Amino acid sequence: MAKMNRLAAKRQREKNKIIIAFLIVPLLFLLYFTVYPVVTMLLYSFTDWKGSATPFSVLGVKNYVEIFTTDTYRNIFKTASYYLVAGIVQQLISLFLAVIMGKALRGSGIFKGFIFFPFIMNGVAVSMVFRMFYQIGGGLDVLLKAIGMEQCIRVWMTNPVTSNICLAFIYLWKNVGYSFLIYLGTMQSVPGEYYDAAAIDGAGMWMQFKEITFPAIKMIIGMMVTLSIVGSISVFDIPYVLTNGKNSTNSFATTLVETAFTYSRYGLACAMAIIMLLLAAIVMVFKNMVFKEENDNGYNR
Amino acid sequence: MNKKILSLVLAATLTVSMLFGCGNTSTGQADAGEESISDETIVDNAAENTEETASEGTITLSMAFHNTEEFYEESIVPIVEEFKQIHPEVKDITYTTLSGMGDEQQVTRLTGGQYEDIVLVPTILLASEWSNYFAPLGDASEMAEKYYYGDYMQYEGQSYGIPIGVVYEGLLYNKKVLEQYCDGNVPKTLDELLDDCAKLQENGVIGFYTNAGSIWTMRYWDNLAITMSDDPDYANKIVDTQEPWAEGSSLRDSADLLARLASGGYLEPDVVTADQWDISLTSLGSGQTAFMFTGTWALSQAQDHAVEAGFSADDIGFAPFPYKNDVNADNKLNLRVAQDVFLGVNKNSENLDLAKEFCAFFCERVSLAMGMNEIMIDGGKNQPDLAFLQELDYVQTYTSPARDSKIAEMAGIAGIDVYNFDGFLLDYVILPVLNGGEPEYDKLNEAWKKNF
Repeated sequence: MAKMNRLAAKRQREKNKIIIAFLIVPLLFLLYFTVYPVVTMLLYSFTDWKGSATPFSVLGVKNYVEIFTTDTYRNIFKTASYYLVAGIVQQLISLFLAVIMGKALRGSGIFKGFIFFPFIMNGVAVSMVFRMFYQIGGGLDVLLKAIGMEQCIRVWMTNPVTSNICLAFIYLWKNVGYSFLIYLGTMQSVPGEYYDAAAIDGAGMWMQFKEITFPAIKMIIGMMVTLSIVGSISVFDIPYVLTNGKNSTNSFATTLVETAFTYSRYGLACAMAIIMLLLAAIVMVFKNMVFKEENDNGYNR
Repeated sequence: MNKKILSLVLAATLTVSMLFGCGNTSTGQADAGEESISDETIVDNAAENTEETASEGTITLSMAFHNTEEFYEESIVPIVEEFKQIHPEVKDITYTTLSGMGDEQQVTRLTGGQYEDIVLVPTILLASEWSNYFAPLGDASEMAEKYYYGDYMQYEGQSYGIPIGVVYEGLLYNKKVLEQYCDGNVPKTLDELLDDCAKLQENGVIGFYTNAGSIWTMRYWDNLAITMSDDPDYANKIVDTQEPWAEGSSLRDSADLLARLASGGYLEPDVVTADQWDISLTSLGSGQTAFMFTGTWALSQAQDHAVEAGFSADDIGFAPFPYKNDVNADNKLNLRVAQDVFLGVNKNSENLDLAKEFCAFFCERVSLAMGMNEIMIDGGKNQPDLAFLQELDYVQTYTSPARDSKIAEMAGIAGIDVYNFDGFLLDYVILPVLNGGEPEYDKLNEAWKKNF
């Protein structure tokens, strides 16, 4: 018996060795390419590093204070709010579309393709297309003219509010397909018997959604909302291509790039990246706290 | 058990292939970076085998420039051939186009360490960083005697870049439009310019296409402040000025002029959308726009666009920017002879001396093809279209001295890209005016004060 135990222990040790041997390479990669840059970024965020080998001095939290006390940097949060609203609207639209497409309608396959297509297109290409769309005499103006709303036509990009709305719309348009697909997938995993039973009991479509679909996809909704909040902070390609972040359309990411590359203030840019990371982390933790509890008490398939 | 073995084998294969992947990548990079060495080796080997090839060159230089492949074939290859005749040891000079690559990406290339022997110096790179990437090309004051802006890229007495050409900064205008609406008068004074703009606006023609959304196009407006100040060294004074945009300063005057054009409705309607350069040239060429304020390097481009739009190249002209009134032989208009981009030499180049020589050789010869004037102070040729400027008795040209390296650092702290790309003019001057307010000079001054 003791011998067998020893043998088992030996086998276990060897197994561990193999596991460690195989893990060590990916772990090193992870450490070098993910952990190391984040740690150095954190260290640089307390300095006035200019991006190369030249010496730098330690500033303490001065970079962080500057971000919250400078107008240009504070505007980032205002810009993010436009994308946040767009993100929430996007969830509603995609949820609505997913509920409709979830029923076996004729031609729904084609529509699914249409809805998902914008998401697989390159962000820069989409932004360039929309640049033409919003130009004077561009697609939007033509469209408004065609439906008799000429009085609404304006120079979309010169006003900070309209330009931000226009940009946030691109974000909505592009990402609707993604959340749509996730919702649709989750909904289709709900067993059809539940709906049949509900239908026999006389539940209408709204009742079915409220009592069966919604509880089943609540977790996913939480996840998608979290993702859209994080996405609204980190949006980059759209303002960069359309406006270079001018006219109060600067997002976290465009301002970060400008700070690092145009002004060579890599230390400050690192501080921005850390704040961005923290915001994302806070949202994630908050989401986990809210939805974990509900998951325990709520619907569980 | 079999499954376990299979998964182990798979995992092992994956790990090994990953390592192979790394090996391959690094070798690949080394190949790309040290092309000259490997070519050399190949040629050396060849030379050992046959005697004929021994007389051929063995050195390959590389260069990266912001023009297209077509331009390379047409205008750079002849220069390379000429250089090879003087230096038979040079086998070839490879070309990488940086066309469409922003300054940020160019800086990333430099910091990555894999860049060509002769390469553009990115405008946004701080002067204190130059020596980390580029070799000094000579004593700044000696370079200044030889070339226009030869000392412009100087740091601690050494020059790190040679300009590829010099240009005049002023008005590109559409002659046809001026003939049609302004009696053919090319504005010589500020009042004439504003009158012309008003007349053009009545007739639905855009007075000025600023291209402000592209940002880099705005730098001419800050340079206009130097022109207006009558002090070639005006830009460097900003280092000691707490309120550069104070009432009566030239920086404010030039920005005010821009604000005046904006409030008059003389600018293009959409000043925010980025990258409208080609559209602006088409607009000028086809007569929808009358003026653009830019460098003469754009003249040939504008003429090409005019021809494409079905007009004649002669319809596009150039004039000094009329920033003041009562212009005559005693009260001359200043015309800035401006620098363009600069070429530097990789400090880690295998053939440093040859690379330096080619850099100067190239910069002395490429200017005319780029639509610029040559950089040599003695005997440099000018664009034939611009020869008339030297005969105008009310115009005097000037060049600016090297820019203080502190400006870029102070600009970073203030968050105002003054004397660089000047995107701030859009946010602080044009847009407030277009949205019914006043230019925000107080905010600009306040931001600049952070430096003191």
